[in-house]
Amino acid sequence: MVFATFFQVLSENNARITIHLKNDLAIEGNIQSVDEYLNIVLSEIDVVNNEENPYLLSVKKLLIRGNTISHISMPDHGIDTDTIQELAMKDMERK
Amino acid sequence: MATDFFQDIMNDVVNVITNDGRNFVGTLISYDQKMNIILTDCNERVYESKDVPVEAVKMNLYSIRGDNIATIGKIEMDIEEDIDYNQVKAEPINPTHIF
Amino acid sequence: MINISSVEQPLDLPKLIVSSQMKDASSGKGSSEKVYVKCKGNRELTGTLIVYDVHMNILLKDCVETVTKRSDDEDEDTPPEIITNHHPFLYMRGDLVILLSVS
Repeated sequence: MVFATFFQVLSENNARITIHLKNDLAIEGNIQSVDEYLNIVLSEIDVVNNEENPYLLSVKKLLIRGNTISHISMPDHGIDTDTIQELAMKDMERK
Repeated sequence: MATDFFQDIMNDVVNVITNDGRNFVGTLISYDQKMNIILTDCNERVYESKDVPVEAVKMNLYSIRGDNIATIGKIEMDIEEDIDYNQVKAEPINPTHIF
Repeated sequence: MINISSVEQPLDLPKLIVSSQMKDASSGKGSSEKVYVKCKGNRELTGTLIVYDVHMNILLKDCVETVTKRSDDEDEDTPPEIITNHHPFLYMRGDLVILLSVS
């Protein structure tokens, strides 16, 4: 649940992230919400390299299924690593 | 949560990319917990190559199993109306890699 | 330095890395040990391990991503194309992780 919480915090800050999918598309957007499967809803999306990949021209709000995500790149600002680490440690001790 | 998103886009025109790299556009009329969905007035958008405009193939009612969905996006009709799809050309979408 | 002898189960290693990283951070030691992660799709990552979970989902800080691309039609002698990216933070999904080690 650590990662769900982590992305939850990012969504509260409306952070702009880039999600790289397993089908080689990369989609940039503001993170709106996340659930336990790490399905993510992005708003104001831009497909990276839009010219080559015009599949989502008229889409602004997009749900991405967790299992199609490869990796996510995030900017530096507003990420509190100490809090998330403490949370992760507590989470593990509980098990 | 994902359910909020689905409630939000219910009865709207949506764009679905599946794990085999296909692209469907249709009106979302039903969904469930497993993300299985039903689309009406559904068109498949076939991207053949960078030289051929995208082709819409009419499918009518379509049901897609949740497992096979990669992304679902809400189509903004005001943007959609301004797009000339005869000018839109692209390579097919890659399938979602199963390594 | 990480004491490997206390690693009994596979996931003890990332646990140890994270706790030593947390100790370094709280004692004001800036640069802590980096991890090397090999992923499916010819992708390699190096960075500071912030958190992980049982699926081996990982979050890396100051991550350098290296992708090695070898196109099919080239013969063995031509060097593969290497793409390097830097990410302030990178989340990698566990199902693509092959191995994780201290670099």
